[in-house]
Amino acid sequence: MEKTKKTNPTIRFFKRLKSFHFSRSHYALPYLIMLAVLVMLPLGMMIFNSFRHDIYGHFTLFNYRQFFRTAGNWQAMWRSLYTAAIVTVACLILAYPVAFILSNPKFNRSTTIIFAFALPMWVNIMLRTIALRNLFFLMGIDLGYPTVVIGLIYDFFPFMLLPLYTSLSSIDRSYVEAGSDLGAGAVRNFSKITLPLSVPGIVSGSILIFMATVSNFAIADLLGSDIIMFGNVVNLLFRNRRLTGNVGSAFATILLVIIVASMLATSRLTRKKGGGTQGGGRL
Amino acid sequence: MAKKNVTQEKKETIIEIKNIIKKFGDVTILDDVNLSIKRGDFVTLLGPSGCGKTTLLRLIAGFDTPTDGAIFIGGNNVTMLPPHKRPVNTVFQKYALFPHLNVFGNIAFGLKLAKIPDTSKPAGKNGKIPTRKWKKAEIKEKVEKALTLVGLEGYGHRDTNSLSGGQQQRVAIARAIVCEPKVLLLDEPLGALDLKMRKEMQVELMNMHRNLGITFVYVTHDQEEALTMSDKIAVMRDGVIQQLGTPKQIYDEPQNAFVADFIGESNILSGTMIKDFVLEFAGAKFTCEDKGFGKGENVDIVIRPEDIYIMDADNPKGMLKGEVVSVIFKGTYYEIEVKNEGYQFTVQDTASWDVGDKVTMYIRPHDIHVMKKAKTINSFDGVIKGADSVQFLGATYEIAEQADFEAGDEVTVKIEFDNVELTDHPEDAPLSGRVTDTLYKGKYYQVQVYVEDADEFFLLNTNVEWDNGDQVGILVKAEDIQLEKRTDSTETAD
Repeated sequence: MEKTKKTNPTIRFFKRLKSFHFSRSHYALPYLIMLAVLVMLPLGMMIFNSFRHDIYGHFTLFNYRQFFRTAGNWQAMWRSLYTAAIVTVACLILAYPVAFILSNPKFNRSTTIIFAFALPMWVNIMLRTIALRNLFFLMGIDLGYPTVVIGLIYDFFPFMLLPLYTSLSSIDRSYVEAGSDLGAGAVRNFSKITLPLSVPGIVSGSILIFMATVSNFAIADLLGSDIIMFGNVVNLLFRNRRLTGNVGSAFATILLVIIVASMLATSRLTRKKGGGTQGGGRL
Repeated sequence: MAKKNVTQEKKETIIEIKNIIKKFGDVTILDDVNLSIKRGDFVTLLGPSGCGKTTLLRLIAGFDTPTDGAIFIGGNNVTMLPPHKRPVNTVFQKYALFPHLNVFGNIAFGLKLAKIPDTSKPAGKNGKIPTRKWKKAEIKEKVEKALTLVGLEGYGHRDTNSLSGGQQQRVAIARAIVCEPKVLLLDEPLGALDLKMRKEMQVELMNMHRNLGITFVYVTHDQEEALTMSDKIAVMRDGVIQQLGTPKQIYDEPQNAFVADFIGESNILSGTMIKDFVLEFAGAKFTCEDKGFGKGENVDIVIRPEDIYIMDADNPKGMLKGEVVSVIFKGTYYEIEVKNEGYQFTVQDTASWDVGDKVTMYIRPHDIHVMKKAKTINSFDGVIKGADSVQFLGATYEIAEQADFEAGDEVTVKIEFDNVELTDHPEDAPLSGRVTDTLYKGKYYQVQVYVEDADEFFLLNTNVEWDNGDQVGILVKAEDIQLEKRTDSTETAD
């Protein structure tokens, strides 16, 4: 006599639930949901809207054409790009020597000092900027383009310092010793070994700062009396959402394309150079 | 051209190390090291980890500067010279190949920086020889030659990360020798390789040394490697060179029990010299080939396992009766443990015996190596604290009531090796330290304990086996502490 193998569906469900195990890939689920809802969805909406006319709602390239119609738009875009470049380079020049000294155990034995350098990050960026603005007033400095650049450098400096520090302090001492063993003095040792090995830190710090600066408008708002960055243009278009929101979407998309393109270009450049196997917070 | 001079230069000293002391903070790593290395020799610095061998190599390379003393290379004082100005190159333990350069770039690194005398230009007014850099084609040729030498032809374009450990090691060697240094320093270069690879590289390094004529200074903790490869071995321990000699000298005539124990397996025992050529150990009298010791002097005796012959118990030639307690087959020989009145001997024999066999052992006189004991008693400077306590090495110990001394008296404290006891609980003892060495002496273990706070060593005999690195407390019974009045050194001098 054969037994019937059929079991109750409820029991089967619980059996299956019992045999369900969390695999490592499941841990990424919460972030995946967040990514979908808060990043991919708005991004899709932005790109979708950028092709729609604000008033009539039909699909058009009108919004993109708007960008080239007024000289002020691409002037602001150009200003944002070169400002970001200036700020990035300035941060690099300021942060590199500091990171270099801090990463050398001969000069710095504790991580306390690196904390001190990262301390401004603990204060809200708006508070910091407003404080800086008051400082400028106090010193009698008129707000303008220079104050915007100074503010940006001041606000984003730690974002350059930390990746540089991680990158530099992860360079094995034996490389430097090998360099001097093979005949390189201090200067050559730096230019031929330390500098190339810290490229990953330079790249990630630069990308962080460039991206944050190129789209920034709040600091220009607070520290530049009439300096218009591209971020300010987009901001203004969104303020007037019902009439120009979709134009703003198109402008933001243009900026996005430029950032993604420049990032791809730099990552390809560094990969060709062969560096980057060393640790150091590569993006 | 250089070959012709080799025999002539062979006797010349290339590296002279004079009274080198190196301290990191309060810890002494090298304690008054003297060493001279002849041109063209393959010299190995051999010792257990922490003996200071790598530190000595780093001082020669210039990565560290000594606390005191001087280093000469080729007759020039280089003590304070930075590494890039020294005529030496290093092969690093973990290769240290530059990750941002390919194989070619790594090997060419030193050549691109080098300046060589330019013979095409006339000498400058002040006698300065004009210099030039290597031309691109010359560099290419040299790198390819170096790659061929290490057996990596055609690997120039490869990324260093794509190479196996052995190949990376070859690149590291090529990178160092391509600069044609006067001395090649090698810091445990084969440590990360598997056994088969290591054996291959040993032979290749020896061939390279022969063909290049460069002086090699080689650091290793592997005694077999040292014995195979070197012309000379410097055995180091606790920052001091224990013995410098050819591999044969080191093996056959170890200067002390440590060297004997470190180089190969050996039976180490304590014995007494009865008179010249006669000594006593393990309860029997032996003839030996050593003289010049004091009558009744306690000595260390070393007998290699292959120098003991096992025979049937009734053989009249036998010197020591015993019983076989274990037999292990080791491929080409048997390792046999023979027990005799508490003493245990390790013997290597091609014939097998059974456990429980009653046997007798025979040792030839010239196979008995007699050595002076480095230390026969623990002796420290101390101060009497009161009627029942004395302070030495920063700790206070109880002593038996002493009428001869008053508090504040300066004394010499002496403690026999047999009268020291160790405990697992350092907090229970006045003094604590770390076990740095244990030596099996046939019947007991001789243990060396390092007392860090005082930078002194305690020696003791015990039946308990301790491991190196164990933290222990040092206990001494009150009646076992011997005290002697300390007189000024000027008075004791005569």
